[in-house]
Amino acid sequence: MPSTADAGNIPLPWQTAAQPPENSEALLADYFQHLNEDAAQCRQQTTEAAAQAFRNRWLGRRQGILQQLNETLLKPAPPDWKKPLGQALNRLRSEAAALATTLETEARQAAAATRLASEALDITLPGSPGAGRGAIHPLTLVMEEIVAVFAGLGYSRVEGPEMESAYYNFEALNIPTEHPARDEQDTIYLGPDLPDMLLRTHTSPGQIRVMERQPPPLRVVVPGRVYRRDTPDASHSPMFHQVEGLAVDEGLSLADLKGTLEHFARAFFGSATLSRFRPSFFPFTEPSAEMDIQCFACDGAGGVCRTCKSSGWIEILGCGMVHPQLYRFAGQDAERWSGFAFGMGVERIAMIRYGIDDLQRFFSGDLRFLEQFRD
Amino acid sequence: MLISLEWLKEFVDWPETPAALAERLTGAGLTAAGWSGSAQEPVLELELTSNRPDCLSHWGVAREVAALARTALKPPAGAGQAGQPTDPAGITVTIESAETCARYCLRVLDLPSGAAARALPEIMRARLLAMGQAPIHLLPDLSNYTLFEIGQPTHVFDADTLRGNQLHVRWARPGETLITLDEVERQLNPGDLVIADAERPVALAGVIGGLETAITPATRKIAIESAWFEPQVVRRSARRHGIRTEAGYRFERGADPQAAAWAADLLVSRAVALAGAHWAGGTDCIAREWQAPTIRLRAEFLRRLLGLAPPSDAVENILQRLGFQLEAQAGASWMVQPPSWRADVKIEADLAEEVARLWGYEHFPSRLPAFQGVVTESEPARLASKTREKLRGRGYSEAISLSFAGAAEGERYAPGRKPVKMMNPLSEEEAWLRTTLLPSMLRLLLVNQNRDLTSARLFEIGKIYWREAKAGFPATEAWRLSLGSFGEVGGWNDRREYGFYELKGDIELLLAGFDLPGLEWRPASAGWCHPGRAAEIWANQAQLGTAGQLHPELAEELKFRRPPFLAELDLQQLLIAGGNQLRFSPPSRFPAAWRDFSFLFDDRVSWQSIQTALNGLRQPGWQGASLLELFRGGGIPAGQRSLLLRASWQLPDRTLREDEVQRAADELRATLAGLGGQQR
Repeated sequence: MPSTADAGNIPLPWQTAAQPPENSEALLADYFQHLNEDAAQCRQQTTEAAAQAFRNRWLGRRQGILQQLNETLLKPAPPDWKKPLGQALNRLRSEAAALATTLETEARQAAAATRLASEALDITLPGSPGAGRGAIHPLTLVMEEIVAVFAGLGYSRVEGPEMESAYYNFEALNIPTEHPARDEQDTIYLGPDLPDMLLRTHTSPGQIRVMERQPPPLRVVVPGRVYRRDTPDASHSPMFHQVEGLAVDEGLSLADLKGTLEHFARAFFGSATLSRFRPSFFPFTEPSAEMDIQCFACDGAGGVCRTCKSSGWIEILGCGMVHPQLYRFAGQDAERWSGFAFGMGVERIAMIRYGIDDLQRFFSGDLRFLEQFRD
Repeated sequence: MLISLEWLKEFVDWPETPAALAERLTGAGLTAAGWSGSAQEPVLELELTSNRPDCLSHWGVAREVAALARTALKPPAGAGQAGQPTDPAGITVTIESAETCARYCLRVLDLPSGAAARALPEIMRARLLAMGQAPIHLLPDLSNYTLFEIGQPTHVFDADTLRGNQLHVRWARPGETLITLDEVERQLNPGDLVIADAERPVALAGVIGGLETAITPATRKIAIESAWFEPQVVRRSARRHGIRTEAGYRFERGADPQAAAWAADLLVSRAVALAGAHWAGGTDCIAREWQAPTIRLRAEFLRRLLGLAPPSDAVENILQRLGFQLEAQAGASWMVQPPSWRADVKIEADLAEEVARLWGYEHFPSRLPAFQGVVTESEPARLASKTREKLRGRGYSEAISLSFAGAAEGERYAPGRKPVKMMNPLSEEEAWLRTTLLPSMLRLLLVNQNRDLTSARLFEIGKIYWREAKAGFPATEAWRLSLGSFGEVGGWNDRREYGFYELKGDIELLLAGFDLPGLEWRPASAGWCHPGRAAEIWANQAQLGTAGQLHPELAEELKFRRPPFLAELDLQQLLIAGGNQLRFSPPSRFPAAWRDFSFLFDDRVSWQSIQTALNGLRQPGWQGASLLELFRGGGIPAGQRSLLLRASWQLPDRTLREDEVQRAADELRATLAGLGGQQR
């Protein structure tokens, strides 16, 4: 490898040739070769220190090879050799500078890569859970969604007392004492010193309370807990939830009831949901109906379907046109106003929606059940 | 109601398959609930609503099928009369109150010896079996058969056991008793309507007969009763004595007032034909003639109620098929009289329902109505939703538990709140409505502990109930929020045990969403609390609730393996306080200054007293002091703790000078020292 220390032993170019060569770089061919070899060697180490040493070796202000060439070659050159030698030295300098920069960048990148590699984590470890395991109760989810569908149709949410008077729970709903409909709603009474107070057996008393308080037109939904004296089993509980709805206006008919509840069924169960209305009986509506949706488990085929008990249909709510007697109880004009009411069991709908097999699970408090409803 | 299709065919024909018939009945309000019997002789179970007692028989369902399928009805065979009801029966009948018994038909027959041993014809036997009735004795079986056939209950007495040759339909007298067919001696109530002979009650009217006057294999003379009793009277007696019979079931829903004599004669003709009985006389005692009500029906009303009025001829046809009499009036209306078996049809809307259900609900239009009224947002519901979302984000799952409680629980967790009792609770242990949510929450936590969960975080939003007259109600109910927790918190990189400060942090986060000036945590003294690890939460001079660790003795008694933490908040108070009013204030553009201070304090110096003292300095630009760290143990003497706190200052309009910050810090140090703190 040539070094500047040997410069004195090597004949100077103008001593071996009369004319400078055409290609001025040929004057420093050995140095170009040396530069590339040095860079290749430095690259094998790829450290910032090696890159720095490379730069100093070639471009150092005092002892750099280029500085030495300047002193030993350019300065003593005869005038007609100065230009080609100057050009060759400039080329060598810019090549060395470019190489030094590249080597430094490569070394910095390699160092950064090493450092980052040492910071690597097992990204398959679980994330910090914080606290986010909580879930809202499926009955709340369903109840809020039902209320939200009707809120979109202009229904306001109201609530009524759970400890209710027999008047609002029965008489004002056209269910007199001794009416057989009272059998179907085995009632829990309060007392003995609270005469005629009971735990409401349905959210329907809300209908009368709203009609007494607020003149039509009105649209309300009444969600809440209701009670019946049923022994707990897979489909019964002494406490459960209902959402009652009521619309009273001028000119509301069975057609409006159908349209509203069909909208609800599609909004809640999916836009392709088919529904049907069957005549039924409630003392506080006339005519009355039950609404079924076509079974989504068997697409209405029936057969051996557990979801719809092979009928092809799933009953979801009871409804009807408000009985004229109720307007009288509430002090409204039955000839002027008409309206419809509906009521649905929240547990039943939640069981259908989520495929829950046993109503008791809702009240078990079992987190293994509740946390499945993280939404 | 079970309907044997083979039996039904005796009265009506229909064109479809059994499945199609079931569908058609369902569509008309007689819901098909399932099938039993055999493929050859299917039995359809109908779920009938309580307004349709007229369909509690094969004849009744046949009437409905005929109306739906537009086919003819074939009345039961053998209804010819064996004699005149006016023939002297040798037994007189008197009805005390026409309101309770509209008519009482009696038929007396002589029986040849051995009549009881005669067999019921096979077809009748099979039909009774299909109804779930085991044949017992020829004459009661025939009476039963008539009931399932045409829906009218009848009763057969051994006429020789009736004393004084008289029957009275009257109220029971004080002290009277009756041994009923089920061999139970009943103490009669003056509200019980009875059939009595000259001396004593012999049957509980419409519900059940007496044992002493029942027919036996030795009976040689029978008296057949077929009557119409007031539904409420029958219902009250049946309930009072806890007796459920097929007869009572029909009478209390309303029997057909015109069917009594028909059923009696049907039964007589069968007793003659099958038991070899001989006519001995009869009587129809009519206290009150049945009168059909007249109801006006307007086409305009149909349109208004149903959204569409079927054509007039269709309306007429439907009602006539159902047995209604009608007379067209001027102005597209009718005067309509329902048949005797349709006591449920009383008003115009009832007629509209008849028209609608036979026209088919599916044939009425469907539309989404517009609304001009007022819509109100429910602020309580919105705040409850917000509360749920916040707690869910903190890892709490919502639970719902029953509202019932034992008396002792309320006394322990909410002493002084007078509970509401239930008259007829499901269990005597839980005969009260809960006055606090805490016992329910403890039960829920235990459920999860006992299912081997290492941690549980639950909340419930529910009502409590207590005896306090308010707003016209003799008792009060109010919303409460409960929180319950035990076990580990955090993940593999920050696991720790849930403690008081976790609970407090969760509640603070929740309360931050409400407008609660003067919020303060004070030491709690409630009996269920750990005496040093519980707080009452106050704001606006009212207690919002209590939060803390369950008293270790209670926790041990309840067999908790890890300390449970509980809170109950008065949601009503939070709702009254309302949500935070969010208002913008511009943040300062100038840099903040902060200094850290480390001081040693006696445990008795509370963090709150330090904060109060520092805030009381009212330093310019004071932003507050926050606690960075708390040390105990190590070189720190027992009963003391080291607090590392950070104070910060920032002015809205300029940068604080170094000397200002220095002065403020010196004042702060002096204040901390004044509280007994030693700088470290």
